[in-house]
Amino acid sequence: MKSTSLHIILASLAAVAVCVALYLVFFVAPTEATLGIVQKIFYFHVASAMNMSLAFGVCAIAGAVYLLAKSDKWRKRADALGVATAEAGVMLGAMVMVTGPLWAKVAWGTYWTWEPRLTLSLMVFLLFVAYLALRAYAGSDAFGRSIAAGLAILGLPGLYFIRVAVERWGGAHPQVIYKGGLSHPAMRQAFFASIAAMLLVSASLVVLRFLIERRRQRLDELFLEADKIFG
Amino acid sequence: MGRQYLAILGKDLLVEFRTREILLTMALFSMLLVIIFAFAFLSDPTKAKDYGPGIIWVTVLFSATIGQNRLFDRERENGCLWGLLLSPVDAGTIFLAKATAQFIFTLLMELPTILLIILFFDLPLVQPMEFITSLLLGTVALSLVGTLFSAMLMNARMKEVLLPLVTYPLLVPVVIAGVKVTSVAVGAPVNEDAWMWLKFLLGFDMIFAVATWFLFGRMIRA
Amino acid sequence: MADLALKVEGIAKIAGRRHILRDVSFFAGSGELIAVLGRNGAGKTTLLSVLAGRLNPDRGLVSLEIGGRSLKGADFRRAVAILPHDLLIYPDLTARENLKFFMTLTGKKPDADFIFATLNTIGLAKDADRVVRLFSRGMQQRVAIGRLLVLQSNVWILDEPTTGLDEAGRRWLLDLLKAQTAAGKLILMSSHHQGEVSAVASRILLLDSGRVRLDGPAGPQGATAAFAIMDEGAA
Repeated sequence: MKSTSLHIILASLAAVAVCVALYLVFFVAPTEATLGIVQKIFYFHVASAMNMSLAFGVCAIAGAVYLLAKSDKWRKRADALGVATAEAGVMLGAMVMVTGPLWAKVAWGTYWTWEPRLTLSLMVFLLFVAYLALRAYAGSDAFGRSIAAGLAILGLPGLYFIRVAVERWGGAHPQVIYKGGLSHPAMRQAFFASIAAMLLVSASLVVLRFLIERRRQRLDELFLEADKIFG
Repeated sequence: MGRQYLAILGKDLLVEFRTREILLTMALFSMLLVIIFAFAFLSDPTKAKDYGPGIIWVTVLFSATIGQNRLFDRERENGCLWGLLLSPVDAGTIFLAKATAQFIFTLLMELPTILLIILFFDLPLVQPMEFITSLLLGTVALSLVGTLFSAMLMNARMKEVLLPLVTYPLLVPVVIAGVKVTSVAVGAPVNEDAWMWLKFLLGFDMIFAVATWFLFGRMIRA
Repeated sequence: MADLALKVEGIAKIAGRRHILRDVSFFAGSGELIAVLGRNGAGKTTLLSVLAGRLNPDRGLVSLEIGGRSLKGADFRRAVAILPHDLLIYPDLTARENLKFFMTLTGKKPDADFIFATLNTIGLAKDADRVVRLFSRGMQQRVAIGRLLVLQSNVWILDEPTTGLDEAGRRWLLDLLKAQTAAGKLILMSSHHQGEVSAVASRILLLDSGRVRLDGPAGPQGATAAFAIMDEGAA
């Protein structure tokens, strides 16, 4: 299958990118003055968060295709992409929710703070969890998938409003001042490398999950063929 | 279309008027919640203005969810929702009628509840217009999102927990905005622009009204 | 009534990995009363749901034409009415309120005279203002039939409509169905009852494992043949 080689290429690229990024993060980018080595969590945290948001965007688009497409072929593909991005998103979300507090404790003295970006990430994570819960418990037929797709679609304007609300929630004064920006060019290099590496890793996982789902759909079709003849 | 909308809405109001199930469930639950909140938070009455607004919105949110599950229980009873969907009535019209019924029931629940909260927590209503507007706009949002998903989840297992799981993340901005406006309205020492938040709620309502109305027909006919 | 053509072509319905309906095709027109027969699990209810538009077929097409015009969407739903096991009536409204409500759904203003006439037809004029929850199953079924009458559709799809009716009720319903087909309606009715099939059906559609096993005229021979096939499978 053509897609399998895409998956292998992606995974290989991801492996290389991860090595490069790790090297840059730990051996090239200088240790930050205020926070020390803990600052390096930042690279993992932001990369995960950005990719999680991207995954949500893709999930929402897949949901829209699922609900609006007429052809069965495209609906099946959209459905597979939806569940793939949702599972990748939950994984990324877990990473964000773990790295965030670890960094926050050192950077701001507290494990959790309701600052806008962390809060927004939490909401994306929650929406993904709700998406998967719907698929698991609201029926494994077309109906359950439709509800999940609808949730993903509504999540797009929803997240826009959440972001605006959460940013203004803390009042006019930002509650948190980011300690230590990315001053050094090597830091920025490591930053972009991390994002790219995480993107490739996420893409590999999404493609893999997508393929698994497509195989499962194909298996259902084969069972149906058999049932048609022998049933 | 208007006649059909009114017919469906009228039917829901008529049935509820006869049985009063939803209203009683919502009202009793919300009052109990208020009493529990009073015991939980009122050890320091001077702080009432700080968390009074939050308590109002939490109570409204939880009671609304309870009511939303009930609204479609009735349709499920005799397969009536399918009867409606198979009639010549447009799915969007059915949705709007149901959402309006939910809106009215939630408002009716809010009335005694909020009076009770104001009483127990001794909240001064310095700016009643802003407060009432926030309630109306917020209830519209709750009704739209809640009706959409409680219709979908009508037959699902675990719908009692799935409904809040799915709707609450989407409704977080409504709660934030509502509490902000209410804080200003009860004279809490906060520096907030109530009208900015009210416009925010209005924008939310407009976008979600269109989105939910459009999605209902697509989602239910899977 | 304008001439009516219902075309069912290659309907398949899937549940997970199994077919409930495999390849169902037939044509029907006004004035027919088709008895849909089959053992439990043969796919009768599913087929009726697909015909009514309640379920989307996974393959195939259901099309309805009246007077040469193809009906889609709201027009289709206006022309076809289903009466499933659930009855689709509101237990907390009275019989009259139920009928008024359903009449409004068609987009027309409720006509008090027409509703009164319908209440007479279904024999509930006396109990018109009692809440349906208090009715017996047989009376509730009459209200459900009233709903069909008030919706004024061209095609009726009935899922075992005589369940729970006593002998008199059954005869009344069968007579009513006969009269409706004489007036030009197309009626599809699932049934387990050989007697009533022989009595009213003009045609038999026998389903077996989701396929059409038999599609032919009714009458005593047709009915006997069909029920014989069903019994042989069960043995």
